[in-house]
Amino acid sequence: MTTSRPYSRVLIAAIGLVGIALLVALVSQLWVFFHSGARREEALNLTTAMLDVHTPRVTWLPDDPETGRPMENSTREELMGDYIRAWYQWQLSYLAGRPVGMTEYFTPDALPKATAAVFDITARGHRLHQTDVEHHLQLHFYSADGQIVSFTDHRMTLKQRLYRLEPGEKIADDQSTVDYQVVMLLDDGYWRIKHIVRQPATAIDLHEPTPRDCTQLVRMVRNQFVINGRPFVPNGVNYYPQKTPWSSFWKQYDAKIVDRDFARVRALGLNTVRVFVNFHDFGRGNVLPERVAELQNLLDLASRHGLRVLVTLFDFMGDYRLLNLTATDRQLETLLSRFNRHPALLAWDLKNEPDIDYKHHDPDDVNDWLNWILTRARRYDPNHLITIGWAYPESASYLARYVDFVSFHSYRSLPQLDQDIALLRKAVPNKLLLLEEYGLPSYRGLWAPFGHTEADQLTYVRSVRTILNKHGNIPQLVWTLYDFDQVPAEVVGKKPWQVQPQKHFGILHTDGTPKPVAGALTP
Amino acid sequence: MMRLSCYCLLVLTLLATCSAPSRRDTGVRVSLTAPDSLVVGQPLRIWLRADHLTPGRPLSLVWQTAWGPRLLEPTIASPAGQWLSLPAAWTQRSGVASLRIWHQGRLLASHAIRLVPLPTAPPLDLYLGSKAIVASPRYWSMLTAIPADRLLNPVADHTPVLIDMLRPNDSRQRINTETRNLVAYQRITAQTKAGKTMVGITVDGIAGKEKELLEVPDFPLDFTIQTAAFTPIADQRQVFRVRTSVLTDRNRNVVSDGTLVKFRCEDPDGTIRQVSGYTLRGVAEVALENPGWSGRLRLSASVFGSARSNQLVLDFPTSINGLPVWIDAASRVVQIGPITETLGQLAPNGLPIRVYIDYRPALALELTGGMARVDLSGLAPGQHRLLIEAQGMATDLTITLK
Repeated sequence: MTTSRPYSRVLIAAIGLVGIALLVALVSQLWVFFHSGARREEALNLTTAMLDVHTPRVTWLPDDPETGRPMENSTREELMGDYIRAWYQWQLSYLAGRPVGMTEYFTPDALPKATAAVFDITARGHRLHQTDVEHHLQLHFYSADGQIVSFTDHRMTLKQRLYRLEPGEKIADDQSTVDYQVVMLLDDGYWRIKHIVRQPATAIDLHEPTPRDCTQLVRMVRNQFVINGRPFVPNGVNYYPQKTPWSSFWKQYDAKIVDRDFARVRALGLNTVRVFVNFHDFGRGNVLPERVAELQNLLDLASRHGLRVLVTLFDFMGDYRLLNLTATDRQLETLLSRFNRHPALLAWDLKNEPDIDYKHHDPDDVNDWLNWILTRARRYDPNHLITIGWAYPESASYLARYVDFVSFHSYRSLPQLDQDIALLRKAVPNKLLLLEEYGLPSYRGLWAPFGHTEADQLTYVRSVRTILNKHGNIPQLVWTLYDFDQVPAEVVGKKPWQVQPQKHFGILHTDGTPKPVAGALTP
Repeated sequence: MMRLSCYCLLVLTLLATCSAPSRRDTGVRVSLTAPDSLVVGQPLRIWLRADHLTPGRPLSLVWQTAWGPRLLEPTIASPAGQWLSLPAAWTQRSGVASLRIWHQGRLLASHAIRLVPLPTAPPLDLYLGSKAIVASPRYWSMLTAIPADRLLNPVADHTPVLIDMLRPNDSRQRINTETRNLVAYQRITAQTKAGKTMVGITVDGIAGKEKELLEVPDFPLDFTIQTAAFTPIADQRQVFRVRTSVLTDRNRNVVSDGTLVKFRCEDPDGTIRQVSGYTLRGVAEVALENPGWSGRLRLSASVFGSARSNQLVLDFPTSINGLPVWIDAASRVVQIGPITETLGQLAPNGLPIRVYIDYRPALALELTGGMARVDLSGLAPGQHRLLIEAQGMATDLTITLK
């Protein structure tokens, strides 16, 4: 009996601890429950907001001279919202292979017509990916009681990809631009499509921005960057603040630090920085105003320091499905329309290393997205130069005809770089090349015992510059300004033999003092 | 050396994984013949010829209408081409449909076909709103027709629409219009006479259901009130009636039955009474109890706070002959009455009497059998002032209690 007593005490103590833990868990759950209000959508049985998922471009053309009665702005917003939502629910239904949330957006007599294709496509073993990317609405009629509208959706652009499920195969990748005549009725708080009739597209005036006097902007003249008639050779660095690289940069944007860093860049004799716009941090399709203000601040600071900025868009955007297309289009329009006259911009780099995504996505989808974004970028900013930041030189000839200069990255051996440039120059003889990223980590330690020293880094950069000069003084932007203390897992993973070298690509130490390599970058 | 081999391996790996962009030209050529236009619901036959088609790799025929795409994967057996019939259900939607032939991701042929809607079919889709408007030319309602064919396609633009209306003043209005942008609509402007407008619509010879528009009278103009069955005695027992003149709007339309009229009555003692009445054939009437206090009563009425009546001033004289009071100081009781009226009869039960003792708030008493009694037992010994009032008559007394 005496020997079993200590065990029983331990057992009782353990049960007591478990009981207390359960009690704490229960109380905390109750606390959370009673301190969490119902969401408005749940409480009022409303449909959820569109958020940043589906954001096609919608513009209102001038109404017909006689529309029955004038339409209030609030009604216009509601009508537009429900019409776009109807299309979105339709796209979701095609993806799901069954009608999803369509009941609210089609009248009872229209619903069977709208769902018939969904059922038919699915029954035949196919799947449709579809998105509506652009609408130009013109109101024809708005009834006196505010419950009937007739309008035309001019030049509505619909992109479609049709797949055969077994075997998995893309059948068609199509795009159409047509007019839709639409009648919608207001019923139970929802504008619902009653009729929709496809018609040939009519010409409309879209009031797109036109190119302006761009002498103060960077232009491309005879394959050379030119500002105010004088040649400009980019010589710079890829930039993240030392303590807030990658996804921390915009979330913890600090103008004072950027100001200090740009002063350092300028003091090193460099004239260009490359920055990255993280697609998600900028709010996807509904770009956050504070991010736009921060980018404005960064460009203004660059201007003050006499730097040009190569802005790389859609960083960490790896979704090339049609459903994501409108969000990228809206982010592109928001940023390019806002900054299409900013003098600090060297160019827009539309995507960082899209060719890496060939591994995980259908290359046709990636290229289709690039084509689309390239066309749209010209439309939203006809003033600035455009490029694509290819990870591999062998990918960089794709779309070369349509970009202003060809950008590529290289972390390969020097002979390989030499050979890559020669091949690329042969493939793209008439475009300026930019080595947008290159570098060597100055890390030799536990995880890379045969790694490189700062002296190796200096030698490497000098050698790269020699190769670039040999091929016609190709401009370059080294990776990167700082050594970092932390590298997020989404950049190179979590393996220490990958993470540690990635921290030491900087031309400045973590404390901002220059490494030897910094001296090799001066022109 | 080791580093170099690693880099070479990396390069080879990357070269292997980066596929070049591709749109495969399979060498297949397709000829497509189809009509440029077709009436909805009609069978569609197309002629299709494919050269160099790989066996086992079908063509994909995508039929795109406003209501979504349909897909057919026909087998082309004859090298010389063959006729294909599209499912009848595919041609039931009007508008421009596109027919596109794909093979292994490449678009090989395309053709647009205009699908023309059928003539209008019943039932007509008609909407009238607002359903009731004021009978004044400043107000209007709208009739909207969204006619469709038997397959529920909106009918072609410029389809004739006839609107026939019988107005409240018995006039007929016939309006010819047409569909535009899938709808036809007509404003119906109110006239000055209240009543019903009956609307009949015919689209392309197809009759729709009758629609009815109520044209209701506008706000009434100012009006008058007068009394009826009036007995001017302030006995709070008689009832008198007040009646409005016929309420009409500026176009002499009698206001709708049930229009609310608010009567405001200020009694001689300052009491305000508000009584609601509702019009019937334009007249509202209410019954009011005579005041319990002699003096001047003021009466007025209004509709929606805008149309107002004249003010009636009515004098209600007292009906009692006097206010006799008996004081029994020993038993501390004040006896009021008997109070009689003009004909010598006792004043009715319930007649209000107010008693003020030493300027305190009034004690409210009611007459029973012509008498009322005040109990003074709660008062302290000494001199007290009593003021007794009924129907505007008053008796002022000073009493001394031991």
